[in-house]
This record gives sequence, structure tokens and C-alpha cells, in this order.
Amino acid sequence: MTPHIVIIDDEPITLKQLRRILEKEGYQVAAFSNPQRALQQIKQKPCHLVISDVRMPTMDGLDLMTRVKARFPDTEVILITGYASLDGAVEATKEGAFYYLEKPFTPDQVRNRVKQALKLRQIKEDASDGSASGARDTQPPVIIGKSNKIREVVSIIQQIGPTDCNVMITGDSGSGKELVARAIHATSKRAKGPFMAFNCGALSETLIDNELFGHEKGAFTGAESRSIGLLEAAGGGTLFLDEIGEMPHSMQVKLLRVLQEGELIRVGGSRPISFDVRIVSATAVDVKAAVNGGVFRKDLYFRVNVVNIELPGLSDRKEDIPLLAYHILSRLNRRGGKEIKAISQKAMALLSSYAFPGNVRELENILERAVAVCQGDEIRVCDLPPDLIELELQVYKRPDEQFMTLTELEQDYIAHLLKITGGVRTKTAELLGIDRASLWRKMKKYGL
Amino acid sequence: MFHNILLMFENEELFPEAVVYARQFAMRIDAKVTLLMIVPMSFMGRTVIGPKRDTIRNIELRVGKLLSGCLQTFIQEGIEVNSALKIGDPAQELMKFLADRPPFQSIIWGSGHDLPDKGRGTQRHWMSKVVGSLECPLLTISKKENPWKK
Repeated sequence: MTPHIVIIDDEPITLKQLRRILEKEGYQVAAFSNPQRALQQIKQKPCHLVISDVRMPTMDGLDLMTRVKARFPDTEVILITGYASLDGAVEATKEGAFYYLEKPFTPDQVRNRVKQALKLRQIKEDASDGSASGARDTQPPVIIGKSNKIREVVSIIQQIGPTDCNVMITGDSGSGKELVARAIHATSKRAKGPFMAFNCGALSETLIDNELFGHEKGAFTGAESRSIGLLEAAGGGTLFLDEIGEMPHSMQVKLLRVLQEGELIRVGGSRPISFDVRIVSATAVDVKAAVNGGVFRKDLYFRVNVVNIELPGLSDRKEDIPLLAYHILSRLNRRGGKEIKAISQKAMALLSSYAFPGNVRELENILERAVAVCQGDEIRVCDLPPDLIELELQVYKRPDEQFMTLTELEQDYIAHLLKITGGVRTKTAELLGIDRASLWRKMKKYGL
Repeated sequence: MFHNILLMFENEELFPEAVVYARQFAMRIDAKVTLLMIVPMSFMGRTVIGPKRDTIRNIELRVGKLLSGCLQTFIQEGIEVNSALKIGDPAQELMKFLADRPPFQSIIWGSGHDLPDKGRGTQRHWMSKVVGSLECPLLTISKKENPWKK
């Protein structure tokens, strides 16, 4: 498939020059001098790579990149500017830009960077086992693990996948929440529809509003054309709302209303538009505590948390580490053209003894480094990061157990005895060591 | 994406291994790091800072120097880092600090190889009292006695 590249620059000469270089290379190129129009086009027709100027009159390149990345995380962005500074470059790459190209650039520089960026995207696509963000999935994502906890997760996914209920995935950062969301989508009746991912913690309130609900032409300065939001774009498919616990309160109210009605009104619009999406949300924060603290709306919590999937951290499923490590290793081999066949026993023991506060993402990173420095066909202890070898980690966690109150315990015990005695109150009161009147009062109190 | 690590110190004490680990860990999960120095000080029965003003100023100067040296090591690795100093009741100051910030994914204890005192009763170290109510796991770092070496 010919890679599709979108270029945006307010200077027509640069635009023409870039277009000529890239078209000569056989890429499919769309050029825009207006970033809003480009964004509109990208939303309708996702591209492989965006090359954008940083300083433009209506929207700066960083802002454009944030919006593109929020919707299509796998799309690579190269920023170009005539005002290159180290600070700007660091900021841009930290925000997710693939490269920061300084004007004036040579055709070779452009060609090389574009090739590298497209190669990286291809690698990312391969790594995610054929699932492309923003596009339709072709293969179901694989959840690796043989531990009871992960088997339980897989079993829940298989059970609830074909239903249409909203799901909330909770789990620590890096534990694979998006992968589970993709698996739910892949096993659902909506699998042929789009899977859209959106990070609620990444954007400001106004931008979330615009991204989720879309806008009408002229809704605000720079809204030169109508844009559909993610709720509409994910029609017939699944919308994955990551970090929902960090969604601003006012947006929670709006989202709840929209989910209840099944209709939305675009920013600047007045006509309700119906939509049909399944909401799968995820959070790393304790939403229950946020609900109790009034930070997260209770009604929205119940709306999106019809089924809850709790993902275990990697430290809670240590038996999966070898399996995961070899799975990641084979992927890294494919990606880097290496042939590392094994992980030494000592190295595996070291990995298995580490607490992995950064979960699977951290394991991936450790192995990526190990593959890069490994000189033989086996990863050895010396290929692992020095801090893993020299330092020991102790993790203190808040206890997971939900402790019962004395009242709950009493209610539970009375119900249990009533069941045993077949509801005979005299016998139950005798076993409890209280009189019948007291038992009756307690049964009335607890509604037994 | 959007990971935050808190590296927490007490009483102007920096445990170098914890700083090294925080740096490596941040690079591995692409996280931002916040350095927090907590200096215990009692303001009981006082409504104004008054006579403690000079002490506080001196603490600010010393901690500023200490943290800036530490910050440099993170900046050199390209890690986004910021720092803060809190003076007062340590447990309260920590909770207030956490409440005002976006959630952290990990908190690293940077003033020793383990929590200072995990004993019982009122003499317990303040950190041992709040560890159960923290929003995320608390990590302590120690040096391995027999490092795995090839």
C-alpha cells in the first residue's frame, strides 16, 4: 500500500518543494496551507505520516500534533520550522514528534526522515499484532499469560465481548488496558466497525469537547468546516476512553447526558445527532475513591462501569514473566532483524525477581535495551540494566482487601444461618445465642 | 505517556541509589519526575512564622542547592523534572502535596534504603503511618549484597 503523507505549511514554496520531493518517491501526498482543513482531512482519511510547520497563523504545529496523536497515536509527525531551537526540539519530541526538521532542509534530509518515520510506523503496526490504531483491526490482539488472574481476564473478555455492555478496565499504568479494550472490540459484534482510542487526560476541556462531539462550521475561530467527533466517527464500533478518571467534571456531565440520550449536539450546532457506540473506558486511578470524594460523577461511573475488568500488575502474575519476555523477544527480533534465541537462566531469574512497578511496558523497555546491547544469541545478566543487577526494590502497597464492617458481618452471618436452618427462626436464634425477638428485629433491620 | 514519579526525601538526606533508580525507572517508562523534599517542623500553637523565619530561609537555601544538583542529573538524561520543598508536619504536607497534583504512578523513598522505622505505636516514623493510604505503590531501594555479576 502506498504510504499516505499529509503536509501542512503556510508557506506555499515550502509546501510545493516538499510535495515534489515526496511525490518523486512515490508517496501519496496531500498538501494543506490551513491546519484546520488538514485536521479535517486526517480525521476523514487517516494518514501514515504528518509533516507540519510549527508556526502557522491559525494553529501551531504542536497543537496539531497533539490532536492528531490523541486520535491516531500511531501516526508519526515530523515538525519543520525556520525558528529551530534546542528547547523547541526537545519539547516537540517529548510531545511525541518523530523528528524536528530545521529549515532550510535538503531533499535528502526529508527523504531520509520520512523513510525512517514510515519504517517506525510499520514496526509499530507489526508490534501490535496487526491492530492498527484508528483503522479497522484485522487480527484479534493477543493477551499473553498463563496465570490464573490473566486467564480470568481472558474468560471475562470472551463472556462479555459479544454483549453490548459498557466496560471499565482498571489497572496500573502499563498493564495493558488498551490491549484488553482492543480484545473486547475484536470479540464483539462490532469487530468490523472502527475502534477509536481517546485519552481523556491528554487534552483540555475545550479540546475534549471538540474531539468527542465534533463541531459545526463557524463554531469558533478557525472552524472553517464541519468536523465529526469521535462518538460519531466510532459509529457501529467501539470508543475507548483512556484515563476516564481524569476527565474534567463538566465534561463528565456532558458525556453522561449524551450516553443516556444516545444523541449528541456538535459544538456550535443545534441539531441532535444519534450515534451508536460501545464505550470501553480505562483508568489507573481509584475511581471508586474518586466517586466517594465527589471528583467523579456516580451516575457516569455506573453508566460506564457495567462490567469491570481488573487487570493485575505484572508483579501479581510473576509466572507470566518468562512467557511475556519470550513473546516480546520474538517481536523485537522481527523488528530489529536480530536472532536472539534465548534469555539465560540467571537473567530470567533476575527479571522474575524484579517488582516491575512499570508493568509490561517496563519489561518491554528492559528487553529492548537488552536486545540492543546483546552481542550473542542469548540475553545474559550483563545485558540487563545495571540498576536491576545492583539494586533491590521493596514495594509497599495499599492493602487490596475490602474489610467488612461488623454490621455487614452480622448481616452475612444471620443470612448464612437462616439458610442452614431453612429459615427456622427459633433454631437460628438458638445458634446465635439470642432470643427470637432480637433475631426478628435484626432480620427486619437488615431486610432478611 | 503521562507517567509521573515522585521521588521523596526527608530532612535534606539523599540516598544516591534511590536517585539512580528513579532516573533509570523514569527513562524506562518515559515518565516525568517530581523531587519533593519534606522537612519536619512543628508550628503548633503559632499563627505566624515569627522566630522560625531565619531557620526556614536557611533550609530553603540548603535544600535549593541540594535539589538543583540532583535535578541536573535528570535533565542531563533528558527527563522532565521539577522539584518542591515542604516544611511542616510531614504526613500532612505530603497528603496536601498529593491532593494538589495529578496522580503519581509510583512514589520512591529517597532518604534511605528502607522506611526509617516500621515499628508500632506513636513513635513510628510518619511515613510508616501514611504508607497504607498512599494513592500508588511506595518503592524503597537498597543495594544488593551480592550483585548478580557475570
